[in-house]
Amino acid sequence: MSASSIRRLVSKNLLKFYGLSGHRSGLQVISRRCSTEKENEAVHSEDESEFFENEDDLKKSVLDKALAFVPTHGWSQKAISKGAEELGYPGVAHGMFTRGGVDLALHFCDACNQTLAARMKTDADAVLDAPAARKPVRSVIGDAVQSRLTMIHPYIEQWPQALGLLVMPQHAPESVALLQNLVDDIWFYAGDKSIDVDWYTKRLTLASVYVSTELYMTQDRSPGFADTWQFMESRIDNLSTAGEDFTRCSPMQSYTKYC
Amino acid sequence: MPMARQSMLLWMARPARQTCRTMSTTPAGVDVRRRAMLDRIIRVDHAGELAADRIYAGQMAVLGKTATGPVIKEMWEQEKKHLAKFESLLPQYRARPSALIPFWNIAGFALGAGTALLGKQAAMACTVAVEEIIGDHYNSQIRELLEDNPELHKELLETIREFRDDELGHLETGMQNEAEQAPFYKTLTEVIKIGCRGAVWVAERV
Ligand SMILES: [Fe+2]
Ligand SMILES: [Fe+2]
Repeated sequence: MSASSIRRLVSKNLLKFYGLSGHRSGLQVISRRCSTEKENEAVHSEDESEFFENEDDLKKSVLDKALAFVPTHGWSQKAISKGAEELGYPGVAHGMFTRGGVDLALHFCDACNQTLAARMKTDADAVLDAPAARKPVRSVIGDAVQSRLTMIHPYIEQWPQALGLLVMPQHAPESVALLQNLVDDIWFYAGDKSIDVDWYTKRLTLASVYVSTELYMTQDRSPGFADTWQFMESRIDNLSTAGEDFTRCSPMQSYTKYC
Repeated sequence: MPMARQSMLLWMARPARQTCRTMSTTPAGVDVRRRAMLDRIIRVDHAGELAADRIYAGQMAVLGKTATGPVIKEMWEQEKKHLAKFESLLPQYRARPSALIPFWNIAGFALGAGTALLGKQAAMACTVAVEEIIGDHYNSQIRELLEDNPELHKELLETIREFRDDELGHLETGMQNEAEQAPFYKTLTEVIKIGCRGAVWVAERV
């Protein structure tokens, strides 16, 4: 069995599972993909975004599309449905996203975390090549928090709603894990090498800086969120002066890659 | 430090970190399991080498100036090397360090000094017991890593194999230095072995 025929089977079953086997537009997308794939592998790679190897990929694409509808429909099932329609899979949203808006909000957090991690990785790699350009750890941390929070700006009006969903007890394990990933990424790319109690305190204090600044930002009406950044700086300063040096950290050479 | 305690509890409940999510070509399930395995292996080994380092430090504190001093010193030097290696592997693998680091530190020293106070033979019996458990422990990790993917874990496997050989060398040294003549040798080593197995169990999780 070739890879492409396996993929075809998976996709078909996926659609069946979500009650889409009779749905014309959904099937059209699939059948078109199948024929082009048979004829020409190059076409396949050019146009990969429309073909989903597994459920996760399809889900992610739907949610990515749905983000555009958040400013009008909020973090809701409605926005997800719109995203699914946009992608050519109307109706898929109900079977797939049983928890509604929170799936969308969690996806957004995860995607932003990954974008930030990729950005920080690029910066860290650049510093490996040119050590003279290294920024102090404190500003690496500050910049990272600021750039992560900036990603929320397009949805700032709807963000209190997202936070409301994320902090619900049944969703807390997932949203806390995402927050932990975020601060772990930031410390990792900032070159943290701690191996004792510091490892824990650094992550918790950074999480507290992030969350308090995020809350502040939802209420901030100052131009360019100037007050938010000032608030963030003072939070980091407080941490740095509160006995332990918050940004005590070995230099960049500790940044190692394991992929 | 209430904040540290809070933080530790939060992080212990967290599933193992998945590095390079976007770059991974393996199915998500395999990846998550592999990350969890490596996280556990690096954490427990680091804690174990820390404790070993402290055991020899404790023995040296009592027996350092005796004729046995140089023998212990030699093994201690190797433990320091082991510890340094795992200190660098922790951030490299982005593994969470054991939350009980301060405890392993004290417990290791107490075990080392405590047995050394019973005399040279008891100190050596302690070495024999500890190294036997650690040797077994490294062997089972080697099996686990080989089963998972020998190519992918090549570097880590080399490290663990080398350290296992060192540990078994320490066991040998202990035997050559009259460990078996320690008072209540059997009971003493059994008690220490039970303690070590318990510590491994805890450090894998906490
Ligand atoms: Fe060792
Ligand atoms: Fe050893």
